[in-house]
Amino acid sequence: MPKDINIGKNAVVCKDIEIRGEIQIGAGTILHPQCKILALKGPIIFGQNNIVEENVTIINNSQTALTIGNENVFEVGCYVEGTKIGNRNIIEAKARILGNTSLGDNCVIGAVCSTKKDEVIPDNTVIFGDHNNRRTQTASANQQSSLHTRHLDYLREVLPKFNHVASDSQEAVTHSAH
Amino acid sequence: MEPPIVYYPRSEYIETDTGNKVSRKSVICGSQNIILGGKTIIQTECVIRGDLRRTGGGHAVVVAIGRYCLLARGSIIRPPYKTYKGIFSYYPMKIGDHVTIGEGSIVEAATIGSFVHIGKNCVIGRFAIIKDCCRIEDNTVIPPNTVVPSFSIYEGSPGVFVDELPECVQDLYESKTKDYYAKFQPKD
Repeated sequence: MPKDINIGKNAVVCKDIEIRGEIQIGAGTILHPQCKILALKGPIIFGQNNIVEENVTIINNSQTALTIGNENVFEVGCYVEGTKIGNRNIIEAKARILGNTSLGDNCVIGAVCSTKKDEVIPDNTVIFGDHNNRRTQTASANQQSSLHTRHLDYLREVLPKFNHVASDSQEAVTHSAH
Repeated sequence: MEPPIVYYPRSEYIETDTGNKVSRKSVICGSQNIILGGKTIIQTECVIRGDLRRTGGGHAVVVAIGRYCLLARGSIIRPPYKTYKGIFSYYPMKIGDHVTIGEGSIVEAATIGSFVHIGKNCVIGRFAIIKDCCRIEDNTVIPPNTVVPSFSIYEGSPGVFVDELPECVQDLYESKTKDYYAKFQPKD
């Protein structure tokens, strides 16, 4: 059971989740119900304004910390190991980030795509299609970023109405003690 | 070939008046916003997100599912979202009758017609429209905003048209889903 969970201001953490180990959740980050955040050895550190949807698994199997930047979206059912996730990335449904991979900024890992083990993925990479093809993103990130802000506002308003939410760190710690 | 009778522990499923069978181990968020048509089976570890509703007051149906549908183990139904005229919102999803959604599939479609078969581990993108009488093979990824026409088979990532279905497919899927429902029985 968790020793250490820190939840930042404005973060929404649903209670129906599985969390283990040392986890820091930055301000404004939203965790949907049914996600799994498992810091098995080292800690997992979330930045600000990330969205983690249901059935997402984020695992840290190594001693070093897994740091996740700001404004990332982890869509339904994705699986993330890795050592570092940058900012404004989209990990689509059922995508997988394997081994000690580190991800730059503004990347998109397409649905059901996967990275190789232990790679360094540069900024603006898009992985897509049957054979994990890659290209560099040309679209500007502005549109995505405004969508993301609105999405966050929406979820902050709606999620607490229908789910049990731990938005204060106090509450989360008492819950995880069960 | 006759499919075998599938037994489930009686205590694991709740049966409603209209014959829906919903696993206690499934996660139904915002259940007041979900309509099940009757004789629909929702298996273990399914997630249905009825809480992600359209902004604005009043009662809203978020997920409407027809009759004789099967949501197999671990499938996820979640309404699609977009911004329209600067307002962010989730939009309702409609699923027709006699629809099978395979194990581990993720559905964020706008509409799924009747007599549709979706295989295992598929991802149906946001605002995809799947018309009546279609078949989506296992592990297919239907990209967002795709329209899958009637009587087609889609396969691959991204999903593409591979073949046509015969006209009798409506009857086939109807009897298949009815048969599955009849053979999904409790056992103590």
